[in-house]
Order: sequence, then C-alpha cells, then structure tokens
Amino acid sequence: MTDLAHSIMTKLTLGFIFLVLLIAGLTFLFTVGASTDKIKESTQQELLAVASITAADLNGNEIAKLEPGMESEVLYLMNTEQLSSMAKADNEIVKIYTMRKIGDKYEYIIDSGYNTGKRSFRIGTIESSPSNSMKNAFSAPAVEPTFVTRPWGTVLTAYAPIRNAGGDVIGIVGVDMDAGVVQKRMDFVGQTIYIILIIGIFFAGIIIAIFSRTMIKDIHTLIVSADKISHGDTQVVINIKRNDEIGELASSFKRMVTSLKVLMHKDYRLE
Amino acid sequence: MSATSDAVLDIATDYLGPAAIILLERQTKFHMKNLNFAEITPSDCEELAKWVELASAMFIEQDLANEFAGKIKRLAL
Repeated sequence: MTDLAHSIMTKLTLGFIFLVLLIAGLTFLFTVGASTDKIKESTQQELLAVASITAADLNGNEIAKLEPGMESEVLYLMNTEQLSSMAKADNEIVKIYTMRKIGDKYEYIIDSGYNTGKRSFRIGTIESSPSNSMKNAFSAPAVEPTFVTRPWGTVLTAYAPIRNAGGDVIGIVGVDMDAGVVQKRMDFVGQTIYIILIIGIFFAGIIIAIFSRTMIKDIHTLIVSADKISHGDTQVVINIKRNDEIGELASSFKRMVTSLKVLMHKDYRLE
Repeated sequence: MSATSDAVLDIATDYLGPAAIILLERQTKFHMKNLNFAEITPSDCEELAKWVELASAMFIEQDLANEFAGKIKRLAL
C-alpha cells in the first residue's frame, strides 16, 4: 500500500493548504497595508477636525495680546484653562497648544498642560525646527504626514489657523495625539484580519482534509478490490455509489470484475 | 447479428462487461431450444429476460439483475 507521504490525500491536502496559505498571505499583506493607511488617514482627519474646532473656539484677539512674562495673568490662565479642558475631553489627545510666527521664527504661546503640571513651555519659547505642515497651517489646516517627536513624546499632529475678530490669522493651534494610540488602532486592524485569516485557514484545512479523505477512501476501496481480484478472489463486492469521476471509475471497474466472474465461472469458461 | 441481438448485447455489456456475449449465447443455446443468440427477434426477448435475470444474479446484485432483465423485456414490446 502507498505510504502516507506519497499518498494522493497528503499531496492534495498539502497542495490545497499551500494554496490557501498563499492566497491568505497575499490578502493579509495587501489588506493590512491598505487598512492601516486608511486608519492613519482617518486619524489625521479626526485630528484636523479637533484642531479646526479648537481654533474656532479660541479667542484670537485675546491670544494675540499674550506676551512673554504674562504667565500669571488672568488672560493667560483663562485661555490655558480652556485648552486644558478641551484636551481633557478626549483622553487620546496628549496636548493642545498655540503658536505664532514672529518674523521668520515660530514660537509657542500657551499649552493645555499648564493646569495638570505638564506645561512644556512658556510664552515665547521658540520652536527650533518647525515642520512644513506647521508653516502651512498659517494659511490652512494641515496635518503632519508622519509621526513627529516632541519633548512630550512621539505624536501625530494636526494644526489649524487661529483668527482674530477681523478674520486675520494670528497664530495656529496644534493638537497632538500619542503615536501609541494611533499605532494601537492600526495594529487592531492587522490583528483582526490575522485572526480572521487563521480561523479561515483552520476551517479550510478541515474541509480539505474531509474532502480528500472521502475521495481517497473510495479509491482505496478500488485498490483493495483490485488487489484481492489479482490474488484470485472473485467474490469481491464493490459498493461505491457516486455521481462523479470516481463513481464512473468504480462502475467501469465493477463491470470488469463482473466480466471476470463470468469468465471464471465453470459454466461460462471459454473452451 | 440481428438488430435485437445488438440491442440486447448493448444492454448486457453495461451490466456484465465484455463477457456479456458469452452469457447470452449460453442462455439462448441451453434454455431456448438451441437458439443462436445472433438470430433472436423481439418475440424471444421475454423468455431471454427470464433466463438472463437468473444467470446474471450470480454475478451482480439482485436489484441490478432485475433492472437488466426489465430492459430486455421491454425490447419485446
């Protein structure tokens, strides 16, 4: 008899599993890549919306009046409190801050961390390496294309311009989301697809094994019968009822066996 | 071979394979007054069906033998 390593069942099962793994692998690669990009994009859109709403809520005239050394004044404290409560409303937001452009320099004004002991800068602290998105935000809302590293951590940032009562841009508001939160969202999609694929492969494996087993079982019956007949046993009964190619093979084989039985019978033996 | 012989042989081959001719020739020779199978006519089919059912049941399942004989019997109509 054929050993398991060389049996059609093993070859079929392995072939199907290889095929399923290949398709699943490619699906995983393409789906995860596309989905994580979309998640990042939607997070960027979400941050842009928060930045735009925050910028619209802030009083541009008051923020424009803030000068270095005014950190203990009511005007500063009120605006800081407002940013702080906005940041607290969404626990995925690490920090909200405002900036302005003085000449060719970009400086911080206020940030949401003041009341929570996480203040990162004083009025007038210069941003040493302003990004293009930061600069562009003085004309329209903008978002960082990748994660950026700030003194308070690695973040994804969106900016929106702050306007005064006259509609002039007096600065920008920046909204930072922790990179870990964004990464977690992206990982969740990947993990979900991974789990679905694993379950899919598992069930496909079971179905393939059952399918090949049923097919091979009947071929095995034919092999055993042929073996018995070749050793002179003509009392073999082939009981395979299928409508597929194996059924046709069984039926032809059965006819052949019947013919042999007739020819070997004492009354019908050829002279 | 007569047209009836050909038709019977076609049916018989489906059930008994290439040895069908041997069985049919023996049935007509020993049970139907030494009739040559190649010369049978529709009027012989009913009797042939009876003998074929008995003989083929030794080699195939009874329900198949009944089915086989039924087909031959229909050639008599």
